[in-house]
Amino acid sequence: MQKGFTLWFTGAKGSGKTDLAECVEGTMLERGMDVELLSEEILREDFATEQTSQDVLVKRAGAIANMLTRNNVPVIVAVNAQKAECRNEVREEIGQFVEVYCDNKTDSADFEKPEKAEVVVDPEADEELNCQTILRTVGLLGYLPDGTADSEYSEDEEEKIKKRLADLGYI
Amino acid sequence: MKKLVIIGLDCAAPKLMFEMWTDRLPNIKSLMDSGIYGKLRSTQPPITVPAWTAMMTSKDPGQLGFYGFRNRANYSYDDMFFANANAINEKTVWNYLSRKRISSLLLGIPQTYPPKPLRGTMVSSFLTPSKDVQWTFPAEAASEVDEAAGGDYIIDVKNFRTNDKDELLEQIYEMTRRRFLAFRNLLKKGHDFNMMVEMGVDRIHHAFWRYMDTEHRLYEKGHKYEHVIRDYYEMIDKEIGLVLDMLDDDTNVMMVSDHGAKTMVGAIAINEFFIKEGLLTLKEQPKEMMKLKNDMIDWDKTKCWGEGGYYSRVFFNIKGREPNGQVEPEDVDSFRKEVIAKLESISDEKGVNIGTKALRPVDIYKDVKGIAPDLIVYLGDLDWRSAGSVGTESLHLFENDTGPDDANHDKDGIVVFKHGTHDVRKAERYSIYDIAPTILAHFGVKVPKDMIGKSIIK
Repeated sequence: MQKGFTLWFTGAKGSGKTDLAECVEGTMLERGMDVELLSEEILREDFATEQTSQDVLVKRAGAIANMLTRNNVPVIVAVNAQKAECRNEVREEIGQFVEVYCDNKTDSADFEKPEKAEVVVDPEADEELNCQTILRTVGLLGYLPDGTADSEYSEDEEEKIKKRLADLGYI
Repeated sequence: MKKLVIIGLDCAAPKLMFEMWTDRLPNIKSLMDSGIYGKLRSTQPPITVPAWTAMMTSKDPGQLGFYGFRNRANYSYDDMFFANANAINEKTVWNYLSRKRISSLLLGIPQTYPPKPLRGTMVSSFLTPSKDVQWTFPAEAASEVDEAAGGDYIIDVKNFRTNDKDELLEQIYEMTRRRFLAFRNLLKKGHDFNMMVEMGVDRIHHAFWRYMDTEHRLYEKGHKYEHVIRDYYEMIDKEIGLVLDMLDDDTNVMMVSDHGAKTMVGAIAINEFFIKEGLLTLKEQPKEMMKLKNDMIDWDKTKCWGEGGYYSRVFFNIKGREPNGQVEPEDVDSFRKEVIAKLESISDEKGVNIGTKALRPVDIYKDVKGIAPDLIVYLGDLDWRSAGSVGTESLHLFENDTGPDDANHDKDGIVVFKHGTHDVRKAERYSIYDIAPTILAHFGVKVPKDMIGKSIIK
């Protein structure tokens, strides 16, 4: 059965959180998992007005992520949460929390780097590879449903297949 | 969102369905009358693997990097790999649908073992080693599928090369009935995209074609099996009718086949041909007909060899490429011309040219990945199959070296599409590469630019 977890993307503004979050969302959907994405854009569009401060937006993202996670729906969050304290509070609250730090190697006065991120990626690196690293980590942490059968045929199986193909006239 | 149901019939032939037996197939005819239908040009080569995957990805075999079931893994003489689902590196139509939260039921589409994750339910196809391995995704669906089939879902008939035609026929009918029953029961799960592929049509063509086709040299009027294929098509039509009865008017329905069928005149012993032409030498003259193994070949004196099958793959023994290559790299072009000329001059046992076609992968594919054959050869333009065996007394074989088989594949399969309110482009012949774009367009999913076909829906 699908386990809920929150995949929280952290990084300075413009560090590529959303692009990578969308890549991970797409891959999870392709593999048949239920997942919801709360990007900055989606949060601003559906859960905020012009007056909503960034702090409140982050708080809402955390609350929604918590509700989804506890109902076994994986949720991906890619919001500009500059303060480490806010993020740590969300981590404490949710528990099943995996943080991805998009480290674009710039020092920003406003952005507080995470001390403990389960995954650190270079946003300049290949997006697919970053996506695989993230999902592999999530998998190792036990959050992904059971996968597929062994990908290689055993010798026995190969013999069976060879005979089959021979019978079918292909070889 | 309108649902889509696709019924795939491996090897279903346009002449049989659209001309000879249309009036006996009322349900198929009703689909033909309510939409479009036509020939569906298959892949080069027109065989089950890679055709179904090409259909589901809208990518040609060169782009996919496999050219049949078994492929060379590298330029050594021996390393081969089976093209199963793990060999597929291109996105399938259900990958794109899953990304848009559109769910799929996929029952028996060739090359889906091992079953991969998706949004929906997948039941893998023949070439699944047995039902002791995971043969569905999710794994838990296996018992549900068996139950839906009325007991034991049959992936494929056990031995279709058998001479016991009665037993084979019984197995084919049983398999088909159970598959259609499973499909109808699984349709109730309410997936958006629902597709099944029935292999029985292919099995029955290969085993019983001679009894039906008046052009086959072994045809006997009044034989007890004369109407076996026709009766089977009628049974399929009834099963399709039961599916149609379950669907509402809003659901669109398609039928497809991956290639067609035609009479097989006989087999050409391709390696015996190369021996005769001085292009292949064996260490020892075989005393009887036997399968050609690589360790029988004197590679020092061999410039090319061929594989048996419905079409022939021909490989060159090139210096610097193969371990004991003999053709100089700078001579490859002229060597190829020489081999093509020889192949295209092959004649039948009466000395009449059979019209063989030899194709170069780079000329027919958008890309050439993996280890492609050096030549893709249609002996007699697929009137004849290829026999890889050596020690045959003749170049022309009339009992298949791997067992009784009467039909070869043909380049055109079928497409029938009840498209509802969609506008369609009408044509006499569509392309196998058009199907995936059509499925995506049906669900309002943007068709990726790198799909090589064009949607049938405007």
